[in-house]
Amino acid sequence: MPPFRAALLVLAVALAGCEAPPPPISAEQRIALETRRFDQPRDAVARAAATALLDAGYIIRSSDFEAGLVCGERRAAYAQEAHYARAGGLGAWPSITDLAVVWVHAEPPGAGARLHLESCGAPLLDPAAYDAFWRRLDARLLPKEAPR
Amino acid sequence: MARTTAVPAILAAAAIGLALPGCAGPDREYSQTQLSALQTREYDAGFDKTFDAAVAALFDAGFGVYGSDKRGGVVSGRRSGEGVQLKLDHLTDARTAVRISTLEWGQARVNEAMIKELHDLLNRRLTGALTAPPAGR
Repeated sequence: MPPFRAALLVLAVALAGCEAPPPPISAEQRIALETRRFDQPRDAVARAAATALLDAGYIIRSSDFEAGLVCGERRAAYAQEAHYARAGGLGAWPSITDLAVVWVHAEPPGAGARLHLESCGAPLLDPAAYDAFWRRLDARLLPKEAPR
Repeated sequence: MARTTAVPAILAAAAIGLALPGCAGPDREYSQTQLSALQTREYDAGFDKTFDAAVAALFDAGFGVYGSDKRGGVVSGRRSGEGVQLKLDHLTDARTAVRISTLEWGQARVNEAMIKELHDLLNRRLTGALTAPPAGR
């Protein structure tokens, strides 16, 4: 290989090791995207949040009810099942998993909730994805019909 | 002939030299006293309030909180290849210590910028300089 091409190749390989930083987003923008308030009590919203995660296909990875935190994980849509299994399944490499973290805290007279979404190790900043989860949570907070 | 091959070789060496420090520098050695001073701050707030502010700060900084034990005062987060663990200690009813430990690609590694970023966000949360938007749903 000509030396000049070799120099370019070495440069390309060396630079590829550095990840491009994600697009900048301020703490205030993050709060606006990830925060939601509910009229229901904190405990009811926290329980509904865990159920909504399961509804969305996540497996509960960790939960701390006292803190109001619940973390769910699922195989990323693009990752093949075999890859996920070989990587160790739950708790596998972030690059082939989706992560959702919900934090519910008392905010009198109701509760405040914060949602963090990641896909393949990168933050998911698509408002539609957040809305989809809030809709699932709303559905779980609806009063149950009395048995007929 | 020797000159034509030497120039690209020097360029290649320079490229490696320029590119690699951007990825990782040499680890700095810290004494236990230096590390404690760097990682730990005390806040004028009770344990519950400080714990909530710590979780909020992690969210604000874009970390996914994947582990928590409020009773034990431990909360862990992850952001791309970076990890962080916060340990809270109740000092008095109005004072709480927070120690922030950092990880990079699964290994304990002191990241001064990240520690400062999180302590600053935590402080902004506790002082009310950073709050949720006033609008409802």
